[in-house]
Amino acid sequence: MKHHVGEHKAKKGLIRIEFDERDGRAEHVRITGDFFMHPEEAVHELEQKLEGHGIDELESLMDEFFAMRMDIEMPYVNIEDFKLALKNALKE
Amino acid sequence: MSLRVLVFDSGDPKFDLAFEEALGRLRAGDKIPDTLRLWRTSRSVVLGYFRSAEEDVNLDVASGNGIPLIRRFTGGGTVYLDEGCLNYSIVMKRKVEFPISYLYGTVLKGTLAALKSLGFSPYLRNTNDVVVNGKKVSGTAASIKWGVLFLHGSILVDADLGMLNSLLKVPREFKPSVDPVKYRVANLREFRGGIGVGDVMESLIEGYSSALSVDVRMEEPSRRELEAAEVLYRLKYSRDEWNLKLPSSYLA
Repeated sequence: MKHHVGEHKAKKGLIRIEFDERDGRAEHVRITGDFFMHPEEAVHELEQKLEGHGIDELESLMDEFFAMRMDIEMPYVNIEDFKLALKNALKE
Repeated sequence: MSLRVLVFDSGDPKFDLAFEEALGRLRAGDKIPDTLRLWRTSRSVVLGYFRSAEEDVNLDVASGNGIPLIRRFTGGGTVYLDEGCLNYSIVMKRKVEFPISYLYGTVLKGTLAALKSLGFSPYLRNTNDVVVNGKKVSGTAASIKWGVLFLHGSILVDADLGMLNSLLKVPREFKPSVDPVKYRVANLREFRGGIGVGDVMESLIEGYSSALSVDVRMEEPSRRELEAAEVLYRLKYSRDEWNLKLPSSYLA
């Protein structure tokens, strides 16, 4: 099992994504940081969306999540910031 | 239109944070009018909604000094509070197209106006950090949950910055994209000796009255507010599951 951690500093707030990789799948996905997301609970839904999926699917799952959740507001943070944090996590 | 002003602290920082959420929820249900709360609390560390306690806080210092860690329902960074900080919260309903921009761009002018009236030259950095003489004196956080606009912040007036620095972890190196002002904090008293929390409180009331173009009226917390805060305290803010673990596993 490998532990991945990636961070990215958005215009407003740091985003940190971490997860364990087991048999090519992401487990225990955790997204933390001092960014703002409204509604706040959406971040857990994003964690759940990624949980258990193949690590090569995570980026497109993020795209899908934000495309479906039109109600989410993230001041000074965008989808690319989350994807960059993910890419940094996968680099390790 | 008028703004209700509530000066209320319970003596227990966990209850004080529960009261914050009670304000948001009760305003959502039209059980209270638009309200500005001014409050102080005892030594505590308040975590942003998405923050991890072990990443932000020297936990041995906190436990060694009996300082509680409490998670708030708004995002942003982790802060240290004590009796030298003046906290304010504003909960309101407004039909605006861009609520977050309205909160940081318009409502927050109340804080800037307050500090200006005290002779400071405040300005905003990183959207919502209030800076005086190149140092951060106040941080703010907003939420637009439950159909209400909620903004709260803490102003360092005469806080124990030694304790703040020993409790909160600061990165050893800053990435070029991180504005170091975020970690360069100061008390207002550093720039104007003799200023007290009471002075800032009065100025905030005037500042928000002016920024929102409303009259103000002082009130006491209602029984309903205290009861709602009590429930939130019991089920959430007094519990380690909420305060110390990430909220993903907690039914918020």
